[in-house]
Amino acid sequence: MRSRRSLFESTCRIGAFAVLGWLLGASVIPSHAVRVERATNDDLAARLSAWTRETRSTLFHVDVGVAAPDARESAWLAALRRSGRRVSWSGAPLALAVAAEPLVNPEGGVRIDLAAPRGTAIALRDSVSAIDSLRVADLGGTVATPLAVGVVRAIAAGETASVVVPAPTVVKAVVVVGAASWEGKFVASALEEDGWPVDARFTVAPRIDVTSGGGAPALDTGRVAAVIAIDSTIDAYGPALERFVRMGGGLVLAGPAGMSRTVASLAPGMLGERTHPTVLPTDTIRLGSTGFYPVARLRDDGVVLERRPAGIAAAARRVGAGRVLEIGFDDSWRWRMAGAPGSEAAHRAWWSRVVAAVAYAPASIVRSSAASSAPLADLARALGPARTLAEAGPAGTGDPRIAITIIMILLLAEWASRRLRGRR
Amino acid sequence: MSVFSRLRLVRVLLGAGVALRAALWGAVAAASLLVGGIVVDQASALTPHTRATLLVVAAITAIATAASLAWRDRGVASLERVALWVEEQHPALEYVLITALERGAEPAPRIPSADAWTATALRRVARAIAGPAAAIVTASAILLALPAGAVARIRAPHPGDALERPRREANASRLTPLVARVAPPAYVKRADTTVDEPSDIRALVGSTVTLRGRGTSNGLVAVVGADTLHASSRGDEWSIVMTLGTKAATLRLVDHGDQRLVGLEPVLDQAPSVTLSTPAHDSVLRKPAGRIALAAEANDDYGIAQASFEYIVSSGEGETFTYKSGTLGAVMPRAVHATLSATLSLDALRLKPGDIVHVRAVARDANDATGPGVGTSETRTIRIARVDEYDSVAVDAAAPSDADKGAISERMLITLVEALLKKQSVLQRDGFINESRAIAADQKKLRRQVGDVVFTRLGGSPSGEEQSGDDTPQHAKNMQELLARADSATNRTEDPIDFGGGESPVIAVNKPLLEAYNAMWDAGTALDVGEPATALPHMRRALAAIERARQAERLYLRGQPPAVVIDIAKVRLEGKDKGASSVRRARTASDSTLRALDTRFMRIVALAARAPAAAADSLLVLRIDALDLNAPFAGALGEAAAAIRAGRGTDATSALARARRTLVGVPVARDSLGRWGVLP
Amino acid sequence: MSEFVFATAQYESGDWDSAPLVPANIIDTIARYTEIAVAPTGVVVRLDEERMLRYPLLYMTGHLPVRWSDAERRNVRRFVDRGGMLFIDDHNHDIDGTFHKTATEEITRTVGPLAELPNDHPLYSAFFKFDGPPTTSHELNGWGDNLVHKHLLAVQRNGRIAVLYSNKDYSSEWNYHPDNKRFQSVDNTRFAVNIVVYALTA
Repeated sequence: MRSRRSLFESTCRIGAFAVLGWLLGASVIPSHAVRVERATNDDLAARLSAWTRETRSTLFHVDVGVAAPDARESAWLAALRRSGRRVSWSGAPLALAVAAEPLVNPEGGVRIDLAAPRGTAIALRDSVSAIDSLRVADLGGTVATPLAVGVVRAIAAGETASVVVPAPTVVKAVVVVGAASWEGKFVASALEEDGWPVDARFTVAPRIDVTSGGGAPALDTGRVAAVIAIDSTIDAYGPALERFVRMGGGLVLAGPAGMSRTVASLAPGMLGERTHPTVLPTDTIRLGSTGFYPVARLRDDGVVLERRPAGIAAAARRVGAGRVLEIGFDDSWRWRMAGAPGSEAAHRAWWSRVVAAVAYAPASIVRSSAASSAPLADLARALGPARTLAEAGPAGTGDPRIAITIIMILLLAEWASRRLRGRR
Repeated sequence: MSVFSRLRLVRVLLGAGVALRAALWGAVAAASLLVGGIVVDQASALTPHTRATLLVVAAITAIATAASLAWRDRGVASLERVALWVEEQHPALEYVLITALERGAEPAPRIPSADAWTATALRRVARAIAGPAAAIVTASAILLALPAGAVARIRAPHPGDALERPRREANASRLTPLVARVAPPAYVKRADTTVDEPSDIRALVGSTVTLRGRGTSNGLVAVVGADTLHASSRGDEWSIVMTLGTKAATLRLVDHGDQRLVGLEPVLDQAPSVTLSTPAHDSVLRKPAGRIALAAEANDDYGIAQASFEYIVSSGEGETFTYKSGTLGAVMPRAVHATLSATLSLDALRLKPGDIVHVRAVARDANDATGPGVGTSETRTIRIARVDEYDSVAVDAAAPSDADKGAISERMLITLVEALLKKQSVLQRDGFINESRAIAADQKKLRRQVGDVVFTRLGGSPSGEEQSGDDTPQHAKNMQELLARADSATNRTEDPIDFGGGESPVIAVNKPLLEAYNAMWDAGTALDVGEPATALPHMRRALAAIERARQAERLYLRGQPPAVVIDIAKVRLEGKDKGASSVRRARTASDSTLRALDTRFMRIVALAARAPAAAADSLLVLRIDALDLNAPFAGALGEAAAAIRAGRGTDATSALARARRTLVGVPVARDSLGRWGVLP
Repeated sequence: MSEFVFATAQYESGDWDSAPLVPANIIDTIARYTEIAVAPTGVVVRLDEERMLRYPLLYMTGHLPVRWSDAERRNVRRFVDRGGMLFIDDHNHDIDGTFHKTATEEITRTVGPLAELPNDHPLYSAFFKFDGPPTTSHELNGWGDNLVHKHLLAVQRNGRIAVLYSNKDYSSEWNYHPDNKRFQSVDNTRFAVNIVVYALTA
């Protein structure tokens, strides 16, 4: 009868050979339990249909290279994953994202925000042609284009992010309030010429006004997008103005209007003393070259929009749901009238942007399954982080190093047992 | 006939045969090319340029073929080669002929069979030309068999011969081919032009445009705006005649369900440009006498019908003025360039002091369609000084009269000083000082005149300096003070934007005079002490200042300007009446038409992918509508339409992108994300 | 904020300063009836200098022919395109006079053709209510062309008056020292308020 030790030694030997045989078998005979299907960006679209018919034990791996699959392919892979298949991906696509929002402007237009690593060169195009290009200085960039058609694509380093052009917003009225003056007249004119509906009220004498549109309508975000105060006559609105702003309305304080007591709690800062003109009597006039009221004491939540050597020329602040913009320029009309060629159009466009910066205009964002606005993020959300195939390899195959270690231990135990009982 | 003579005859016959064969093969090659061209043209119309090129290529091919064949057979020129050929044809000669020829043996050997050589040569020639002759006959037969119009299109290609192509299908569109003949207005005297398959007709306003096509005119109309033009028939052709208006329009040819668009782009006849070269500047004359030469040039794009000088004489002052006008030096050049010259006689106009003559040149073109276009030059004024302006400073006219020569002027005083300095070496010291003091006295008189002018203008006494009897520099200071007071009354120098910059008229006129006054003072002082060399720079400075004042004289200052300063605080809201609130009209969007173009452009871009032909037509219509509003946009649209029609996708995309940028402007890009979404 | 500065246009060819007291009188009237911030004196600006663009309302008058130079024409065109209003008054009050003929020719050439301004135009109700252009004593006395003009003329751009042209001879009517206004039962310069208010608000 064999001793227990002999039985142990035989068991170790058999075990070592069994593990060795399993290793040999696993390396020679392919496993039927786990199949690996690999694809690259180039052939992914063609293979997705076939993958859908594969057994549940198949591992799908996509090597995306430098560009994430498009929205349709990512969605398909996500669906495969949700159906219980194992799906993994590897590669190093650029972290790129694009968003589009309609400009609040009667002429329409779209603001396109881009996010990408510093230094990335991005080309923008829509369904018709190229729009513009830029190199990111810090995290991202913005392009405002008067016209975009179909789908906007941001292309950088082989990666493409797409977004559907949103529908234009419905523009509401702008109220211009001030004493009869060139500034008030030309602000209202510029906005009207640019297509804004303007309700103006210009005070000429005590209780005598010149009005257009509604003249002095009740401030309601359902009808009014923004109020432009040219001077202290804005005081006539009293607390209604603050209610309007907190409801989401926009307020532009032009020049000395920022000193008005009604807007003291709304203004982004306190105005300082008017700067001296930097223009010679015979010079062509530029915006602000005839002097402006600098924002001297900015609130903590104020945002500087334009800074000049003489001080802050424009600052903004959010108040409740609304926005307030304080601009120091009180005679922008001189720029329009006596500026360089094209200053009339520039004045018009500038005032339009001023209003757009604060105007109340709720916009609906269009989402399309055909466009991926952030391909890398979408891919990671759908399939998890990137993994190599080895990391994502078939379960059960085991690590061969473990098997070899087991073999070594078994053989060492068998050898030690034999030596300890005096056998060679 | 000797053997050698016979041999030479054979050479002539063979040579003629070679030449004839080369020419025939050349003709065959050319005819083949032309026949091929005609066949291709019938299948797909070739442009007149291509067809003209084909003719040239055919001619070159013919010459090249003939030349190459002639070169190949150039051996026929050699008597030895001909002799060998004869030996080959008549082996019985056994090289007698060639041997005799090489030896040059005389007398020539007698060869009985020599008479037969000519016949042999003729037979060879006949065989050689038989092939090309047959080919040329065949080609001629083909050419004769082709429709007459088809051959004519190749023989004499010209714009408009699209209609000469034979019709291939009985029910083919009547709108293709289409030929437009443009006859410019008669006044431009230019030849008609013809355009095949026009998509856009650009011609002078008033041009007569005739559109022609094949087939009857039944039911075929052209629609231009609200007008409908019916076609008329002549033979197997229809035609529509119209006159090009001033506005760009799209002409829509409608043949039942079929239609075709043609853009009509009028070119305006520019008005003449006129330049008045003489007199070169405005003048103030002391005496209304003398003659002033007038000269001008006029240019026009098509021709000037009439050009002349126009003058208006204004007389009077205050509230009472009378006028008379007339023309001078009229010419009818009937050319694109005209030179005018005339003489304005001031005596004949019987001018009085204070009168002003306005002169300009005027040219009219021959445009009888939308004109005439009138071009005018700058206007020059010639003013006759009033008596109270006789200060010698305002009397330096462009055309000096004799009377001026007697007046004492700063320029004359300078001349006197220069003459005195020249003869200084021959004069005694006393004499030199006396002459210098004499000039100083004149300088003093002139300075007083200048002083009077300034005082008069600023409201002082014309003889302020004389009344005081004090001839010290203090007066200059007084004048400066007066000047400063007048200036401060009319200007607010603390406001550099509204009241700064550009001197007020008070300063503009009087400041140079004050400078002249002071310079004259310095000059007079130097002259008084017998130092004319020191005085001379001051005198020149005074003269320069007077010149500047003379320019400022154009300001028409009539004495003291009003210095009324309103006390705003005092009168504020003191009015007896009260106004009322009012309503202002809102302005319409200035670029609403451009915005409409924008919308249409977007729709067309969307259409381009689905229906390129329709998009190209729509772009053409949009282009015509945009011509007056945004010419660069219209230009880009034209390129895009052409590219879409030609199937050049990349070019079309590029042109559309350019059109879009032209229409709506360039995007604004920022390389970072700001804390505020939209920045002013 | 900038105050309103009354500006008189100075041009090369004529007697632009034929009504020197009109600016002061209008300034006085503006202050008298309105709260508009107005400068106590006016300015004179040359039409051939770009500085004229700093004054969106320009007053121009005279008796003599109006022949604008190229520079004047170019500036007037820019002035109007940018929203300025040019008020021209025929100091001759004579439609057969040279000022009228030449000025209207220049306006047509530079800005566009003049047309009658309807008497219900907002200009006539901008501050005081008028049924049309107020008559002047020069018209009623039969001076000039011996006509009482029922309309002013204007070139309009985008619904606003770009050039206002008058044959009424307001230059004579308003050419007196403002202090003398106290002797008048009815202030004859009230229409000037409408012109200024219209220019400042339209």
